[in-house]
Amino acid sequence: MAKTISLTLKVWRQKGPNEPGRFETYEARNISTDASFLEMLDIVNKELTLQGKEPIAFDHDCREGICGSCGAVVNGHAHGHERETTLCQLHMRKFRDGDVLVIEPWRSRVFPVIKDLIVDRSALDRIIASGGYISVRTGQAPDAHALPVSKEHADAAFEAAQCIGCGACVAACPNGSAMLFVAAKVSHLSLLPQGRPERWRRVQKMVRQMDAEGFGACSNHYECEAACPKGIRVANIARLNREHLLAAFRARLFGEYPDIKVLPPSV
Amino acid sequence: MMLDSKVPAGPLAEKWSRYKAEVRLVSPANKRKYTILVVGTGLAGASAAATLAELGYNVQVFCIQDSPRRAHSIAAQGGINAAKNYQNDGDSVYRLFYDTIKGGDFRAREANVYRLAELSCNIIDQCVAQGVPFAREYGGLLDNRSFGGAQVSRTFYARGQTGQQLLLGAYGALMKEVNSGQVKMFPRREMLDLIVVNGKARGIVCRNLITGALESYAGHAVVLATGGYSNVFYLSTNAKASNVTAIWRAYKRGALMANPCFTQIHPTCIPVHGDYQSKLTLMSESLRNDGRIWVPKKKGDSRPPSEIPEEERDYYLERRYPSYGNLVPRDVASRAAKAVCDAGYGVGPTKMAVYLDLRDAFERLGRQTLDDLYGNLFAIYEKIVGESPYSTPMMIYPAPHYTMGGLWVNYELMSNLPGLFVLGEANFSDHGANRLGASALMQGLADGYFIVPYTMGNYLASQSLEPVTPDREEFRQATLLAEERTKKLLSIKGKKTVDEFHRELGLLLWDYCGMARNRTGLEMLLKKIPELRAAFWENVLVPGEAETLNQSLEKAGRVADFLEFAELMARDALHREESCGCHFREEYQTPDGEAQRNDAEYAYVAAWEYQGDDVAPQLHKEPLVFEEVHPAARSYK
Amino acid sequence: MRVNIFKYSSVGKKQIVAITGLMLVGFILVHLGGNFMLFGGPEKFNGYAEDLHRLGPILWAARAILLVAVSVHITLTFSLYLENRNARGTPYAVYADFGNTTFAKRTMILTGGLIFFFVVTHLSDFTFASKTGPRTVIPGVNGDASLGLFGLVWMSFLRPWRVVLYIGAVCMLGMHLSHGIQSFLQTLGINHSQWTPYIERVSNLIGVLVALGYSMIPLYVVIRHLTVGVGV
Repeated sequence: MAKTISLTLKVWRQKGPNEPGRFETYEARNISTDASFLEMLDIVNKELTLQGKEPIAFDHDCREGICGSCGAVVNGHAHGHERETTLCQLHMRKFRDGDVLVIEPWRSRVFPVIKDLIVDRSALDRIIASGGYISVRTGQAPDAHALPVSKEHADAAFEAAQCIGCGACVAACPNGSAMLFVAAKVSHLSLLPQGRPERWRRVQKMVRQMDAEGFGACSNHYECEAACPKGIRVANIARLNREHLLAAFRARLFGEYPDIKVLPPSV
Repeated sequence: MMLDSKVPAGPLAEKWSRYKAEVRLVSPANKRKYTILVVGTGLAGASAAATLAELGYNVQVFCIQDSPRRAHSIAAQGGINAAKNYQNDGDSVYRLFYDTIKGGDFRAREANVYRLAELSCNIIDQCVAQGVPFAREYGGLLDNRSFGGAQVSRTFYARGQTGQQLLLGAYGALMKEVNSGQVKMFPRREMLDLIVVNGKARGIVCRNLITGALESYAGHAVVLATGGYSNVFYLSTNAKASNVTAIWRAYKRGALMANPCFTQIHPTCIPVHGDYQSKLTLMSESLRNDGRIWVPKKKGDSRPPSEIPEEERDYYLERRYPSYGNLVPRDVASRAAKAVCDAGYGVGPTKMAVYLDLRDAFERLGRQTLDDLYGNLFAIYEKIVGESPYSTPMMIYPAPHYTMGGLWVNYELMSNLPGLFVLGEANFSDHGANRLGASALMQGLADGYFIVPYTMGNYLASQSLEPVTPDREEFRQATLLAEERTKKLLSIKGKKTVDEFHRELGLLLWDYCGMARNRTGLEMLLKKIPELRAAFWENVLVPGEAETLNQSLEKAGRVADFLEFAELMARDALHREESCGCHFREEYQTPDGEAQRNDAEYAYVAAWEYQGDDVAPQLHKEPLVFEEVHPAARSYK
Repeated sequence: MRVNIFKYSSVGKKQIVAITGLMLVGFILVHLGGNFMLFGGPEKFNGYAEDLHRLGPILWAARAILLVAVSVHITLTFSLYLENRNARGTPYAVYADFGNTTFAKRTMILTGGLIFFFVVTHLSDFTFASKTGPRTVIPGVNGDASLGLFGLVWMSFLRPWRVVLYIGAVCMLGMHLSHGIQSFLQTLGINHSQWTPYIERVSNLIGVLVALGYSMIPLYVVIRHLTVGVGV
């Protein structure tokens, strides 16, 4: 049954990308344990608004854990301490009365803070744009049953394709690496026969773009897997590594894909 | 105004082929001279933008989120319909067409619906080619499940995340064109006005949500794919940013708004639990495949569900609708839930909920199978409610979910304003008075991938469009208007937050323009809404500044538009003196409580034309002509 | 064909680090086998060393390969380390891990660096030190004549601080390997839902065995010296 709790929040406030930020302390009083984390922030924001102060800016949209908009680091954990849960699906029954919560934005040089808890994750879009798709045109695609896909492969592809692009993997990685994000897409597409024709080129392009953005490299801490709200496995990173190694051999042996370019950050 | 639906002549099954054969084309060399503005990156917007760019048009794409991948199509759970008949259970294009038009209670345009059913198969092919990981059987072929309003299994799905997978497919196609340079992407932009030059849609003004700057973009045509307006109810299953602003501004620039009162209340959502609540969460209709809906037979029975014996449970849908059982269409299921709760049989702490019980399915299929089908839904339910659906029945109640109404478009998906195309949920076209489950994804992708690429060419090829640049007077005027409005909102400095007004509006609509409506309530709404609107403009408190990221200001603008739009919605509901689909007027029902349609007087699309801020809008009627089907009383018994 | 590994992608660099790491693991295991010859007495041990030296150019080729492997392993790791540190930007006020990372994983760069410094002293102490002369004599054994490398090793480990340093270093080596071996497989793309948990355990086990194996050498010397003596 629902009860109410009160918490102390230390929230990162930053007016703009080039402004200095600092922590501000707020009290969240009488919060129903049935409320979500974001609803708790809504309540705090309402109070701030009525006091004539600027409410805390945070990204959010679907509030059902699928759009990937929300995210903040709560007491050092990306999306909070609860496993496989986005911030919007984290409910206050997971906290105790009197808890002190330190709330920060994703910290990555590649994700500059726009305001308060809102960061710029456009780098992830550029990585997808560099090759995270199957290059088919709209039109007369072959019948959906023309190419059977084993259930095991289809299921594994789906598991990887669940990535919501929230960036928690980057936030949680001690190296600020985006490997789990990139690996999820590489895995999804290389597991399906439709994605095979351009698999070597795809992995090379996406890794190049990832590096150009300035993300760190993976050193197999696996914190990303623990922080991922969709439970995407690091086995996908191994698959990316494998694809990358094979692609590198092909590039050396056959001189394939010398034309890979990197997208500028303005896209 | 004469509304010309531009439906091609000829037999129903040949209309689209005939249209395509006769359509005017733009040569490749000329395509690159055209710029098309696409607003919204859900299934309809992303697929349209990608396809138009592939054809060679210059496309500029705008979305309100930080990435096009986050549009609310992503949250669609259950699946997408297609008349593939892979199950050999008697499906066909005609049957999908008939189910859809019947599901919509014969208030949709026949030719549009038929085309939708025809294209459904191409969509599945296209998505599979893009790498959408649909569920498959062990033999490697695609699996299907059934959905409400149909007696065949024609729904393709990817666990409970079909919308996500389809959207990521369309997003991939869009990003491919971003990479090729054919699409220029403008995220975190909110459209604030439509620019009409010499009667044709030629541009938009939007607010850059990061800098607060008002930006003008000019093009040869504008595509609106900005979704529905369920958030007018405040609590809905829509994403928080979903709003009516883009289509409302288009309406105020002369585009007609059709059937705004057709709003779908989805039967299976997690019930409301508190006044701090910010949104409602859907539990996919697909659960009705395996779940059974019931309430206790005894009024006010407060025993836990496990202690209520089988014979004391009322499986009311199975009882009232034996042939469709738990799979009746959404409007029917929602009304039935409301009826049992209003009669005092509701369960849970608020008594405004019914059970959706998977006990029998767990016994029959086992946990693994159900996890494969609905695993993520169980997880969502458990996170929100704190109870495990594995051990206790889920509690559900209807919630606003989808809006069938929207901007009026003809067969070419073009509004009465030439050059303004409206796709997906933002238009009114295919679902009549009630949408069947798994049809929204189908419509969004059909519009974007397969319809607008043809009709856009036809429009551009038959026009001579003067050059228009953002420094024209029309842009300057619109920018000034938007600026003034922003200034006004920030200067009121009242005592109530935007959300408080929004919540109040939502409650009014939910009570009087929700699952059941009547003349008294609607007439009262037509008085109350303008009062609330006036109070808003006197007493709203919007903190912060205009020239920066300001989420309160964004919300205020949207709610201000909802406050205007809600009045039109109530007006439309009041004028339609019949019950059809989701629109249930209590005065018009059969003795056993079913909706009573009035085909003689109301078999038309109600398209409203803006006449000025405090002037009643003008009603235009597009008669619905049924050449193939004969509107019959909709029975699911 | 020009090859510039510094222009490789981060994944490529990691894979070079993994491959060179594997080469070094191979060396470490072979070297451990050689060290165990010490248990056979001076003749056996020195004989093994002489056999190695008789390989001549092959030995030098092996040394050259090892040198390249070490240099590449270290420089690439260090450059990746700098990039990784740079990627975070503003640090977290509070950072808590979920428990997937471990002490060994977080300290790879530290243990690696310390191992490197240890190897330098180790080389100057043994590999490049004179195999004759007073430091190779064990007083009272073999008529105070030189016992070659055996004598050098024996005498070194009679100093307590060397024992401590050596055991400390090989423990770090063991820790480095416990993560390094499993990491090597992941980086080269080997991850299996059933085998990987075992691979991780085997990797940890190898780390422990290497640390124990190498620690046995100084412990053997000390214990043997204090009990039965060299016994030659």
